[in-house]
Amino acid sequence: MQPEHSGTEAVAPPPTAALAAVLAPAFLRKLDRLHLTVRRSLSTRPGNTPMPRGAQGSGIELENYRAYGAGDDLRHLDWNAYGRLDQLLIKTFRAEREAPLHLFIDTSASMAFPTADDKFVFSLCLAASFAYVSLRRNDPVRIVGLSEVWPQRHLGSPFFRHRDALLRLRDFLLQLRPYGKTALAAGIAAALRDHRSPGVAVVISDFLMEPEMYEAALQQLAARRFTVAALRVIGPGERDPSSLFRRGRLTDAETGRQRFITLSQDNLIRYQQALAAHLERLQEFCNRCEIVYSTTDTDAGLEQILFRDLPALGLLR
Amino acid sequence: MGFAEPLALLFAGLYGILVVFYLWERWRRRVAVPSLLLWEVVPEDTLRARRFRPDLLFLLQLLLLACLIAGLARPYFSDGASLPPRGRHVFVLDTSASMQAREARGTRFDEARGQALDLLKSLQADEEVMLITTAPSPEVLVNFTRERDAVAQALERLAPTDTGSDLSVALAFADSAMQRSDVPTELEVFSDIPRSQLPEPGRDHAKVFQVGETDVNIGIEALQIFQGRFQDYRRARAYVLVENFGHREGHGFLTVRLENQVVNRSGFTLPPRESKEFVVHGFRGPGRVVAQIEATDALDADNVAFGWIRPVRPVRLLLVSAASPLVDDLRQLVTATPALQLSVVDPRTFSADQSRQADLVIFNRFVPDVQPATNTLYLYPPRENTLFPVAGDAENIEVLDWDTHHPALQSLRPLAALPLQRARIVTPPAWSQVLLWSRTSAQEFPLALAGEDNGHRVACITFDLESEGLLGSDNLNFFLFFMNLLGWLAPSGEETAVVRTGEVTPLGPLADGPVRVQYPHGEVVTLPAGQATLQPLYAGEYRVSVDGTSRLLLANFFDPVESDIGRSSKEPTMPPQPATHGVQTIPASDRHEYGSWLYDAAAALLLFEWAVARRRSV
Repeated sequence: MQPEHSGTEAVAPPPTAALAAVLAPAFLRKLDRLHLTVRRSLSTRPGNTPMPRGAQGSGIELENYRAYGAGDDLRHLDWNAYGRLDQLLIKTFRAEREAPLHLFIDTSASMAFPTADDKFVFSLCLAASFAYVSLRRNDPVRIVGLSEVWPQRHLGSPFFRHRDALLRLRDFLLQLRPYGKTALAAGIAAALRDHRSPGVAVVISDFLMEPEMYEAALQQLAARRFTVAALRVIGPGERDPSSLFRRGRLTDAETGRQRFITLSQDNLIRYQQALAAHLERLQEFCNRCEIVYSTTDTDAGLEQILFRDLPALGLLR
Repeated sequence: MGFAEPLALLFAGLYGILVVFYLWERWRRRVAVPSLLLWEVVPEDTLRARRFRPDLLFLLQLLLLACLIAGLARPYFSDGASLPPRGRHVFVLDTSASMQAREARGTRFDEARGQALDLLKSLQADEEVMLITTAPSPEVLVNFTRERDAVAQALERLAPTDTGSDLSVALAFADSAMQRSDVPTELEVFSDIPRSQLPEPGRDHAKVFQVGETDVNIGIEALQIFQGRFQDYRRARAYVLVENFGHREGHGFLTVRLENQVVNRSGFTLPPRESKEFVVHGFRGPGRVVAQIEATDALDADNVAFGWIRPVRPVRLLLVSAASPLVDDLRQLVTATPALQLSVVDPRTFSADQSRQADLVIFNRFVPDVQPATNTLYLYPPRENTLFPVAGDAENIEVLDWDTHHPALQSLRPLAALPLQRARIVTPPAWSQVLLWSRTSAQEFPLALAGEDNGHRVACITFDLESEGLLGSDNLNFFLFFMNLLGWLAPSGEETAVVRTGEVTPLGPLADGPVRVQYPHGEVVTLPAGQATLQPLYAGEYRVSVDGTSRLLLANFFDPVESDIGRSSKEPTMPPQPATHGVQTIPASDRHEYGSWLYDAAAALLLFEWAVARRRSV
């Protein structure tokens, strides 16, 4: 499905090589060591009937024995125990739970700029890594692209449930392009309407929007008992734009609005102060809402993020 | 004002490139950013989308570029000239004595000057004129200028001199000026010399305005006063040479005066191109001699000549000698020479005080321990003396060489191989100059030497003059040499000099103070400090005064080339051959370029622009 193009587009080749590097066997072996830490939001596996409290859980793993009561399923009687103890004991089983992973990727045009930062490609690689970590534990993974160009402000994949789906997942990622305006809150809201089961929600974005927008988006996830992680993707060009230009007409990648700026030393300091305030407010909000937050620098590298930064935050272990 | 390299102004096209760069910088430089959210806090440049609004930096760069382009174009301003000259003219005006010759309509010089003024008036306003005079030596009187009045005034002030001139040097001057000129330059010569007689360098491209036709001139070609060093006015004689330079017989009178008193007046008739010599004597005193011709001719400058008869002051000789034939010889010499006075002193009674009363002391075979403070002559010094160390004696020797440049030997031809009986072999002192040389088998040695020691003239004759016989008939050369040596040792101290016009004459030793010169026409001029020479341009009397003392300088015009005023032909004024025309630009000598100032301004602007840009970026 092709998006409706906006005025400002990032026309870039699909990041085939970058994703191939992530999904290469050598890197996947490194990812095998990682686990997604889920503190809540477990759901039953599909096919298992949800049971009332105290009811027999579905599953195959033996949990305990209890005395037979009227109405218990005779198939769960332990006849060996009856033979030894002359008591009717019912075997109870632990219900199997799963932690579905929802990967929300900001696919607005802002993710394509500055082009040197490769924020969007980095986001896709990060998402692919998360997806593999979950699929290896047989947890379902769903990827959702968020942009105004998509119908209903998002483009969601079906749940991928096994490692075999890795190539299909890759193909879906390659479909995504950074187009149009950001639609984080609306896109997440629309995506959640289809899948209400809680799980882990990882939002990968540059969060370059009004705070109200990202707060609304993240609050939706937190309110639905998702384990939420917000990964703020940033690059060196965004941190220090003096390497990109000294003077010129700045054009907003999403709105097309322009602003004439001379990047004097004073103005650079003003910009960097605004950036720091923006990041600080985002982090403060995440802390308040018990959302795992991390600023991921594209020039730090994927391994730094996956094997050091995120484990330190407890999102991965 | 103008530009030496106007093509450099084409670089003004860089203005457009600068504007394009500026616009590109401001309008074409688009930077896509993820969001302007973080840029809201940064103040926006005040620009209008559809209007070019240059800022201070742009204006500075524009000014800097303007300075550089203007500097490359080498701007200049010229004195009083806003346009390059159309052409140039070099006026060469002959100011030699022959131009004083009278013609039917005035003097030749007046006619030539009138032609020059007429030509000057006919020139265009943007043409430049240089004025060169020829006598006594070429001089650029007015350099290239458009100021007609300045040239006209210089012409009006000019007068021909009583000197000759070398027109070839003047034309070489003009030719070099033409070579340096980068505009069409014409050479106009105003002279009585026909084109065919002009020297090569300027003849082909010179426009000659020849003046003068007459050849009637009788002039004094020479006036010589013959007066020996020790002769008084009674023995003085004047020789006057008068020549008829014309091609017809000439008549006239020659009057010779001594201080306005007529000494001789003679009539003469001279055939064409012939000369006659007049000998005048019987002068009744010393003083100024004026020879003057009264004749009907065209040139006055050579009709008068000046001479000078010296007043003779007796020379007091003191002879320090024992009784000897030399004393007798000198007594006879003094008796025959009124200008000499002799006193004889024995060496044993000689004292230094006695020498103060003498103009010249002669020591014969004696050298005092203390040298007298006057001019001295030593004859055959003894073996033991402090002044002339004697290395030995020589006998039967000859004069082998002599110094012809010394005044004591002028007009003399000492006879080589003339035998001398004996002489002292002395070592010449450092202050001395050897006049006569001889040699033995072992060495050369002086027979006579002279020089100045402690401000006094000293001479020494090392051979025995007494035994040779001063007045011997065979020794006439020695006698003349001895008299010349006396003349050199007792200078006359003349205050009057007779020179030729055009010659640079040293004024001699002068007292400190301003030197005032009264010229023959009565004009009094104070010479610049340090000038010790005078170049008389006119014949006549020059009175040089310093600090109350005065000296007379008599200048004569003796130049047969100039006196010969006749010309073989009067050639019509011919148009010159076209000269090579140059590019019409103001000559570099008249330009005052100020491109370097613009480069300096550009450097200053560059620094200022850099400072402004840096301030903006801080």
